[in-house]
Amino acid sequence: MLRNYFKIAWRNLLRNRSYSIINILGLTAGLACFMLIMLYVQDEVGYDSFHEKGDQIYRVGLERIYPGRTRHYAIIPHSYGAAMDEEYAEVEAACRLLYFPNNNTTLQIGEQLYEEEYIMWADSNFFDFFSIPLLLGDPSTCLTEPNQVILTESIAKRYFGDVNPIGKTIRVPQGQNNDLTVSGVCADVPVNSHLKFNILSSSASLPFLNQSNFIGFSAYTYLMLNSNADPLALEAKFDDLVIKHASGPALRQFGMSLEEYMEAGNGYRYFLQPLEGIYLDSNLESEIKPPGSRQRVNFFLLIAILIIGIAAINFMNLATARSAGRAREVGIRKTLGSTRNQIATQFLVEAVIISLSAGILAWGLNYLLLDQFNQLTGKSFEYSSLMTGKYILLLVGAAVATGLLSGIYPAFALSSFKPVQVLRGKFMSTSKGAGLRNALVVFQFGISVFLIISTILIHRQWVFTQNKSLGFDKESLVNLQGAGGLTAQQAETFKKQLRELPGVIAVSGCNSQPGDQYFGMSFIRPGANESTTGSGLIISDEYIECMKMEIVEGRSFSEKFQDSLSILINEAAVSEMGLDNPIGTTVVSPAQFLNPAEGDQLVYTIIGVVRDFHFQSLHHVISPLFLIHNRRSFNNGVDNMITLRLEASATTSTLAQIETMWNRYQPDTPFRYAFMDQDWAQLYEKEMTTRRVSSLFSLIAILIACLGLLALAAFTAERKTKEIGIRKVLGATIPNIIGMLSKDFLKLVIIGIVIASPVAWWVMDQWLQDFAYRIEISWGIFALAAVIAIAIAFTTVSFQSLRAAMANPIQSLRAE
Amino acid sequence: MISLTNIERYYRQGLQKAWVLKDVSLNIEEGEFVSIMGPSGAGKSTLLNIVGMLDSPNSGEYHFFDEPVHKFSEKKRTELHRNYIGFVFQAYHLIDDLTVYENIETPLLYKRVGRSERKALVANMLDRFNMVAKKDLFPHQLSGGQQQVVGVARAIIGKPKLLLADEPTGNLHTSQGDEIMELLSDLHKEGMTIIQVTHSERNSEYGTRIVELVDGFIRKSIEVG
Repeated sequence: MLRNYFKIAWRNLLRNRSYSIINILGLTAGLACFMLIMLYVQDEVGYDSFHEKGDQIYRVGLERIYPGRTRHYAIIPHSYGAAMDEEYAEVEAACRLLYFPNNNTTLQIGEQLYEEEYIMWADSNFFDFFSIPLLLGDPSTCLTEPNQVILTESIAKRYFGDVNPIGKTIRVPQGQNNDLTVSGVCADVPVNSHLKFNILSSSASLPFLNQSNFIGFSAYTYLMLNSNADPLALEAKFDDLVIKHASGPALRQFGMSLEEYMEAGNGYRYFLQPLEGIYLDSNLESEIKPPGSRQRVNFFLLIAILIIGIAAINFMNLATARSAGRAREVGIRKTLGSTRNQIATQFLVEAVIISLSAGILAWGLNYLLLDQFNQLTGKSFEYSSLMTGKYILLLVGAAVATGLLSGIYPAFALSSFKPVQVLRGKFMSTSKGAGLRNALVVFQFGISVFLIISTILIHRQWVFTQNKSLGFDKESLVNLQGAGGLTAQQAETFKKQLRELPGVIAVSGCNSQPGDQYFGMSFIRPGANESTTGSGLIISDEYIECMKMEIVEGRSFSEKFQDSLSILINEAAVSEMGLDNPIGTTVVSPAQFLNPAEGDQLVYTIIGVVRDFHFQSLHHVISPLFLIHNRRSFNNGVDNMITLRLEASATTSTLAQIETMWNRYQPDTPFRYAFMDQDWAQLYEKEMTTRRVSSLFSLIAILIACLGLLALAAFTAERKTKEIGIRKVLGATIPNIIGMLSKDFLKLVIIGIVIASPVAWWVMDQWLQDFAYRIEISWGIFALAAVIAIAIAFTTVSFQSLRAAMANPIQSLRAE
Repeated sequence: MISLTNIERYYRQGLQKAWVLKDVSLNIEEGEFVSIMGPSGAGKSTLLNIVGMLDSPNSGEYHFFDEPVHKFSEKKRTELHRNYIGFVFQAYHLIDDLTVYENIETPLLYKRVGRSERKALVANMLDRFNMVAKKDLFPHQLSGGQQQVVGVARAIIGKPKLLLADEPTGNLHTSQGDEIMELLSDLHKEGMTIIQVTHSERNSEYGTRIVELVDGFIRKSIEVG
């Protein structure tokens, strides 16, 4: 029996070639897109799922409440880990990780210098927490002593080749001359983890960890809970812990008791994040690496399902539309003794055969397109990921499910035909299923319009973020990293010499660039009872001019003034501090590096106000910023980073000359530079992926929908051949006929637009909420989407209509 | 074998009933070869469909081998139909996508006949009707007469007790039509009960009885031969 079904299905496919091609093409495209997106989704969802005790591990996050705003940090004061471990029975252990972004370190092995970015410090129980295999070294002792380091496999290979690196020494030329000793080698950190390091150093190497600290944030803190602990109940106990430990330090730091401080609108709320959710669900400040986004994963998932849905609908519509062709067969089979179920089964088997062959083609298509997909999404899937049991199972499952879902209605509609009716000569199943067919076309075009609208909005927001004035000019700016090794004296002459190079317009120094992490700090006006917290930036003379930032009031730092006790603030800080007359206002800060080790706090004077500029991506509101002169920073005139503005026409030879100069001053540090505009674009990589994926897959979805519409229009035109012939004989023109045939479809498309627009508005409004600075959703976008959809639908339909309208009526009438 | 009592069949057209069959009572014994005749629209095909259990009457009783068909569910009717009745159509109604061999085989699939037995039965049938050479052809590659031969072969392969033929020669030339009628006549001689609907006096003479239907009534029923 089954063989018979297969045979019938196969011959039917061959006989109705164009119909089969449309069906299989649509389903293939749908399934191929679906599987690629699922590959992506599975990868995103699978982050950190490899840790054996992952379900017991939580990271402690901090919700820091300031008057009028809150910020969420992934790092917390470093003494809480031990305190929590000690205080609560359900905490089995605590592990801290420390990582300082943009803190490149030069390492020396023999005579060879290496620049290393990803150095992380960890407590000795790191390998109990995280399932990264330790390949060499003793897990119980490899992270216990100061200056022990563990290398990842590939770094060990790079530094030491095939020699066993255990016990080898790595020199740090610029540090306090502490040599590092290699105590172990671990496997490379998997890409799908929120962790990232090349070198893991013992936390014992950081002396400041020995001093208790319950106020300043520095450590990623992970807790191992026992298996029956309730994380919510534990979280609820943290408030008491804060009062117990932070009261004393708060009094010293803020000049008031913790209670008063909290009443003034401040607070610390610690919370737990499950390890496996950190990558997707956590988007805190100071994450180790840029997090993913659950919202985006869901959006992609939605697109995947919509695409496959559109393809399935094509299948359904064509099957019911063509049912007249199969009706006779159904009638005959019934008179030959077939039951309704047997006929329904036959059509379902046919549907599944079609969808399974589409599945096989989709698999091939995935093979061909994997590289392009990697480029599109920035992932690095291997061909082997198309061979895993999980993938194959999902593909087969999706194909069978699509086949069954799209086959079930046609199967039951067709199997319900009464042989007496269908065998009586001519049979037209035109009205049957027409309602459903129309509803499905509305649905398809609704989806298409939804995708068009969201694509337009995503694109517009993207253009907006790219063109929005940032408050500084990011073009032609070059940052030289790793300048911290120069003394203040050397830095000054180095910068002076750079300035004289042809093609260089301005040279200045700073500790961090917009888009990178700024450190947090607070200032308080003497006598005021509220301090203002914001971000801090250390800059040199000329930085404001070099960045083309704007001074709204007062002046910027200048070598003509001493300025070591001057600060600049941005407009946001002015309004948050409530200053009517900022220039000349004096402030103090509890920050250690701004004050002498002993004695009273130094008084700083505000000398200028900088126009608000974006030092974070447009997701974030511009918050208060304090700009401190490098002569008064802990590195005393030293810049971490040298920023140059080049002429727009500057060439690689300019960079080559800068490099020569660099090597003369800093032979021990590799020359590393980056263009500001490129770094800034990185901030929007997430959006860029979303934009690319959504526009591409929307396009595919619309194409599949059009494919279905094309076939449906062909079917309608064929069914109306006689009517068209009669009308033409009666004097109808070709445009009349096209209008007649297109009208019905356009009606459906318009209904689709009307339904989809509010849905799209709502969904995209949610999406835009994620941006602090965003575009308005205007009616123009909906109008544009409507015009696009109607134009596409009309073109598709009229292609068929035109053919029908041009046909010679004599022929179509004679055939009757 | 067949007993129809007061069979009525009508279709609703708005508020009115359009009568097709009115108060039809008819008994047919095993081994008869009945020809139903009458003008177009007299209800001949409807009567045949009701006998063949493809259609149900609005009222009246239908006993088939003393079983009350009018009380049966659709499933049960399909069951009876499958095991006892074969159909031959004016328009042949072969399945376009199946070869001659497969068309003849199909009823056996629905009767769940085993594979080797199917093979033997189909081979017999092909042999009997001289279609062996054509077994792999598709319907559109055959002449009308050949298609109807396949239609007859398909109708009788399941060894039905009753063969229903709705104008089996209506689409055929006279010579081809005669061949088909000879075939039916042979089957009748072998003991098959046959009911045919026909317009042709000539064809009706192959049968043992002629039932004349006019406007939904049986006007007369005459034994022939």
